[in-house]
Amino acid sequence: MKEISTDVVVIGGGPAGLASALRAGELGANVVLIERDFELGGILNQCIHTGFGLSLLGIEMTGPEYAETFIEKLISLSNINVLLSTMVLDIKDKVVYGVNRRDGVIAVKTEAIVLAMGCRERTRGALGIPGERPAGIFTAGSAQRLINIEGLMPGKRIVILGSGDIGMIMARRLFLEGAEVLGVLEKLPYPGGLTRNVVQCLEDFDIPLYLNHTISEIKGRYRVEGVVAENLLTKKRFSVDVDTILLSVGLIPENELSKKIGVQLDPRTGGPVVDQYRETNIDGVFACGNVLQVHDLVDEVTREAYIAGEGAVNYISRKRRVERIIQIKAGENVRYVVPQRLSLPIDTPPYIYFRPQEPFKNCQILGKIDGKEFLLGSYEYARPGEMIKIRLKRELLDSNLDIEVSLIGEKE
Amino acid sequence: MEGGSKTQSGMDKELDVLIIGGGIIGTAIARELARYKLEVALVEKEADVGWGTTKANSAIVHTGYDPKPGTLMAKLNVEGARLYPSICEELDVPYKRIGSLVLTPSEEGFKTLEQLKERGKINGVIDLEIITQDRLLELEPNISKDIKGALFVRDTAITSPVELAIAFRENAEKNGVRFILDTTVIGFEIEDRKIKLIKTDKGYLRAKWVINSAGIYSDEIARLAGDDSFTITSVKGEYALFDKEVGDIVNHVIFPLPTETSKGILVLPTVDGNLLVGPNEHITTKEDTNVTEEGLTEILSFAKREIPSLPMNMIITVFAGLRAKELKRNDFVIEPSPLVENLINVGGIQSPGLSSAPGIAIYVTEILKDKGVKLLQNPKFIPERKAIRRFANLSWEERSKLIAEDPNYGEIICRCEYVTVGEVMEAVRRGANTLDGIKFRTRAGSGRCQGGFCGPRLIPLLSQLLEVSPEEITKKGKGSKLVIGETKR
Amino acid sequence: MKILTCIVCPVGCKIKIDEEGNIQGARCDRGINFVRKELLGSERILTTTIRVEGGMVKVLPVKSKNSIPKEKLREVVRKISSISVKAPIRRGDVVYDDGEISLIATRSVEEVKDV
Repeated sequence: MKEISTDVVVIGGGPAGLASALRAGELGANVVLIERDFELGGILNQCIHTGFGLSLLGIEMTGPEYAETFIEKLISLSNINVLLSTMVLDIKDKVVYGVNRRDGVIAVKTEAIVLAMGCRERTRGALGIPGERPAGIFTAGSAQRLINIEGLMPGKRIVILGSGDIGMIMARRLFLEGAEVLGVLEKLPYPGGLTRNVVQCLEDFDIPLYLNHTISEIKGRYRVEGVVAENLLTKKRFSVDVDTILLSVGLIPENELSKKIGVQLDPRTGGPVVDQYRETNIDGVFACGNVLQVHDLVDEVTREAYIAGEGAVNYISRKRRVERIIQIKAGENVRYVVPQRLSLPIDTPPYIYFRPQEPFKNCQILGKIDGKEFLLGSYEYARPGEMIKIRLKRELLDSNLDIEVSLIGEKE
Repeated sequence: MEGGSKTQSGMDKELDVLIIGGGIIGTAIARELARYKLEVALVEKEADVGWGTTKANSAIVHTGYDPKPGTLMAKLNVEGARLYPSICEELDVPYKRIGSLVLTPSEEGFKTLEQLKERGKINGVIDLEIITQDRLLELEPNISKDIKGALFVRDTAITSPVELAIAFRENAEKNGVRFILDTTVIGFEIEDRKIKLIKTDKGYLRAKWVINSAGIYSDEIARLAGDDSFTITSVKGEYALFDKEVGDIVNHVIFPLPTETSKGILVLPTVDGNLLVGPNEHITTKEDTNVTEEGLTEILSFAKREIPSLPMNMIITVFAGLRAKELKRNDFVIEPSPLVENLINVGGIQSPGLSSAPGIAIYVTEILKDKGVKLLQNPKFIPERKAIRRFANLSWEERSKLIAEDPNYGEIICRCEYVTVGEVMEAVRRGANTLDGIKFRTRAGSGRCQGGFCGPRLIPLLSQLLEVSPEEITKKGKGSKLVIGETKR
Repeated sequence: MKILTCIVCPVGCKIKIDEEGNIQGARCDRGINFVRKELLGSERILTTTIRVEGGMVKVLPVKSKNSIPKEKLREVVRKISSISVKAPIRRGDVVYDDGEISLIATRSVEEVKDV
């Protein structure tokens, strides 16, 4: 067993891992960044489309360009040690155990850990879609990896279940590669992802979006032969001949490792409960990126990861002092809030991230303590598929009381 | 040499015994016959063994208290179950004696439990105890308080049916049995009420004796030879498999009170630590392994009544299997064909088929002996077979050592189940040539992400190992291609 | 009256254009420019992959230097489907240029050194 020692271990070399490792490294900590794939970049390597970096860097980039921007900076720092093709299997008493071909088993003793493992996709099995179990059923991200990394085409006639961003982006990708994309089925009355993707991925190419629809049966014993689509409002069903089904039905933060070490998870997000430094309930263990909450924009992942990286370094240098903790709760019309706690005192009121339960228009975000309401912001539109970031108000932080964040407005 | 999954060489040499059907029964018979100096081959229509009923059942080794006394089912279940521990030890296949509980929701039900206990005694199963609610809740804290008591069957065990079929195959091959896969029997040439030739879609076979263990299709195989002495009805059972997180919600196999026709919908742990719910029972066609909405609701609501805290959002997959039932006999059909001299039918192997497999194999061997087949012991017979070493189950020291010997064990390809490239390569060496073949030998793809991560990585890896282009890699043979080709030509 | 959803940034402003050509609802200038261009003819930046030989990866992600008429995108992908480039590649390299369209590598690809 190879044994090494460091200050911070970052688990995951995607955008969250890259940014948190970079920040921790820039602040002078010794960092070991562990990535299971053969190169850094994580999911960005397969996101060959544009939409990255506009907010953070001022230029619109593709995923690989965004990744490389950070990778270049990171590998130039000598205090960041990158372990590629290395899978973390366990963590015990602040020792991170991984395996790779070259070192065999590697044990990294550390003071702080940043969890940046990203998420996995919800599967057909988990949905319990009736029918056969043929080849030709892919989750959208899996199909994206096949096309954009392996150079392999999943099929010729495609139907996509779920109008999340990945589903819509794959609709366009498959269309451009010459497949027939018969439609995107969405069970809710509104699309799951960004509006811009509905336009530039579906409307641009006349790919129909069927809202209030789902797949009620899959046909085909060995390879997909068709699906039965169902209108959930009218209960009407119709058959579609396809050889491929893509599923874009939800992302699940990948917290198996986190659970192993006793990190408390928030059932609303599927990710760890954290404070404004992104520290979990375990001292010195931080979380950022999709493992903490499923993000829409990588720019926010990076910002959040900077916070976690800095948090890890401050933890090691014992710079923080925590006198008291207050909870931030998701109130009316709010699906979840991150962070779920605040370690006080704080100098500057931090940002919180949340999503509305359903689409709203002309809405207001309120922070409540002890019956008093403070307006945090107003929005013309608030959609579940578009995370909102808003700053808390000073007045909410002066007491020891828990804060409740709620949204009032008109349902869209 | 590895078992011939694709080789057709030597198909014209006359065999002593040809086994039709490579499920748990066919492979068990193959391995049993491998003990003797006989030329034996097994022909299977799918690309791998165990892909019919064997891969979609409850995986339980019943003790044998349940079948009607005096039936073949009762005799062979008890004999088979007794052989399981030693066979699983020899063949390195999981076997866990976790015990079972037959629940009664009513006071009247205790009478049925008494009857089961009596029946067990007659069949030779004696470790059966009737327990009341207090003891039941000690054993199973998550059981509904509506359950009044249970029959505690200590020796019920769970195993891994496809792994066992694979183990039987590997051991049989090692001892000289030839496996002819992806090959369908389409007819026979009969002369003087004897099978002279076996016609397949890939050529002809000649054998002195033919054993028909073709599962759901065993009556059709018999009919092709002119024997219509039994009929198979296909009865579907649907299942839901839950995440390992809830694998310990029960500790034993949980049965309801049995009906005339079935053991009922069960809740049980699997050998890998998942939780399984099912099966229901519905007559259907021989091709229908469709999971239905109604079926899922049926099994899940039943389970929820027994285990109220069962979380429905922890299902990782659903599937269905077909039972081969001979409804007139209500027993196994294991006998020489009354109409074809050298055909032995092994049909209607519904529950307790899996549990009886070792017993059935010996029983069939005895039929051959009675028919005059010389069974000379093969002195070179090797009974042991070692499974692929599972990286996930090794200690850190063992892992270190393994990777040092072979760095392929240092690259994890299935992150849910911690399966390494080394194990995938070993599975290919042992005959896996499909994604499902890899899954059943290594567990890659059977975890909570159901192949979402490892799938795109396994396709190029298998393409490389099997030396075929990626579009030739299938999920389960027969055109179940995964990709249609490269994006760029 | 036309309503277009701007796709320049993730906000997706709904921009109205009336018969006289007045533009309302854009939160920034990029939205106004987008709408003006869109009315003349929808054009998009193409992102796709092309084959790369001798590198650490099998396919190279690329983007078009300029935007391309929407209707031509699929045709362009088909046209370049037989191209292959050789590693090493630097991010930003122009890996294809036929006078009509120009493709830029969006990542670097190291050469695989045979051991």
